[in-house]
Amino acid sequence: MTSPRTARLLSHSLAGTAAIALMTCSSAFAQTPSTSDKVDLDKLLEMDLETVLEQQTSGRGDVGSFGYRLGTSDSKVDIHGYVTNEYIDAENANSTFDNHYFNLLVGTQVGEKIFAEIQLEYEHGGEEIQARYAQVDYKINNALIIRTGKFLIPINTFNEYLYPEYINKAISRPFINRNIAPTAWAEVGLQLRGSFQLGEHWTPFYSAYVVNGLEGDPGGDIRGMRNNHRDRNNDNKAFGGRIGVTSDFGFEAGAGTYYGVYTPDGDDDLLIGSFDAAYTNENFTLRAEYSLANMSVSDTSVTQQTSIERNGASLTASYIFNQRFEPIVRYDFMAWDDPADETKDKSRIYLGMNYRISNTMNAKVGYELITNEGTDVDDNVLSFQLALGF
Amino acid sequence: MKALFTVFAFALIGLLAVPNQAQAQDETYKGALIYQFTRYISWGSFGNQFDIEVVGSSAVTPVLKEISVKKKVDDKAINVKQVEAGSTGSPQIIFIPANQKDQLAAVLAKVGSKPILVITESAGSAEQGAGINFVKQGDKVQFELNKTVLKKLGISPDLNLERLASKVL
Repeated sequence: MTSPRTARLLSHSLAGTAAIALMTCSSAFAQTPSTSDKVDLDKLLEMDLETVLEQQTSGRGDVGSFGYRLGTSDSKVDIHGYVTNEYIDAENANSTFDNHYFNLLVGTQVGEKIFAEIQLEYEHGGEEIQARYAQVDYKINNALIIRTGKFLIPINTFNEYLYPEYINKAISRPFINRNIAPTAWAEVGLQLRGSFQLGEHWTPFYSAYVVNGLEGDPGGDIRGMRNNHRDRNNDNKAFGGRIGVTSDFGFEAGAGTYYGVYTPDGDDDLLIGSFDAAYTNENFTLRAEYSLANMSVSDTSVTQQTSIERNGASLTASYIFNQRFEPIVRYDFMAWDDPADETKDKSRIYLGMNYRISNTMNAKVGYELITNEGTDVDDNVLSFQLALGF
Repeated sequence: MKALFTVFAFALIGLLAVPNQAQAQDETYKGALIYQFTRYISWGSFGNQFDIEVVGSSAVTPVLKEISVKKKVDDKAINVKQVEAGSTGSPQIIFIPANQKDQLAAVLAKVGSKPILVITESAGSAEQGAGINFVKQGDKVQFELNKTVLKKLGISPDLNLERLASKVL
């Protein structure tokens, strides 16, 4: 005797077997050849013979997996990266070598309109590993690109275009790019961006985004609020954008903003604004940036005030001579509107010399004279850096 | 009832979604491969157009005709023509589909020592004198190359064509 449950299972098994058999037979007996749209003939004609021979597989019972099969499609993959090796000798810390970054950039273009890229960040010898950004762009035209995934926030030029050390002029980043509009800063969400030509010389650009947004403690460190990859505590989203213009005679300027609730309970909000301008020619670069952040703090036991304002600026100048040598000077500061702790106010003069080994490789030496307001602590730093983009 | 529905659904998928897609894809690949071969062979001089003759009817013919609209060989237009086995001319390529495999000997006799690449799609055809023979390996269309025959006819294939062949005679 079989139980009702066994009979039911048997019935389902038989039905499944019969179904698969029927499906196989129906396929086998269908004989109506036609040029199939499933294979793109145009693509086959543009490929080389080897690719055509490899392409044709369903993958069932075959070698490889998703990567191998994608390798036979029309997506072309590029692997690049950058390396930053340093020796830091700070007055208030132990001197150390640092394999600061060995970051991999993997990108692809699928067809003419789809672009995807990930930056895999291996920081401090691999102690910290993460995807710094992981984005997909769909380009409708130059004026409208849809970006999704985890992308660098378009708050200023530095965060989107300049921070990798093989590009950045100095060894360190300005205070504002660490503590106010923290670089590298990426968020998960949706962005629209684009640019267009205005007259002969100007190219305005824009971006607008909505993201999960920064999240942390009331009045906390903005840098530490990054990496809120999934909203788990509230439905609030952050939004912002940037507008700017570049020119063919070396001038560019832009203004970016970010606004969103930043505490898990949704009671406190954060506004960040950033303005930057630059002039570059063949050898000379002058770059300025001002950023400010205003965060509300509903719990006055934290700061004894209902909002905290932080602001700062940087001004960097450099000049290339003999095609190889590039002296750098930078002044930057940040001001902390926090009566409870004035020691966060800092200013710095950075003096450096870069030697351009190639267009994407720099050997740098820099000395930083740091002034900590409200304290007598000397905090100067001598550092060496070798930065390579590949 | 659920079991009946399951059987019906699977059968429907089999009938509607899969009908001979693999077969049709093979013909597309074969057409594309025939064009690809032209890029790996030095053809020397030929007339104002690059002629491909297909013996009898074949589902590859419409693919080749589509290719002839889009592509050229050595800057010459591609002309695709269906012919009977006894009426082949002096094209650069003759394709003998599987349903005409019995015509291989007659076609080869007519080709003689002329530099004509004969392409087939039947097991054993390369051994019988075809220059290139399509074979199916798993779900992939591959090809065998009869280097000896091509050499006799004065056809010079690129070394990569030899490397990519599943079998070289």
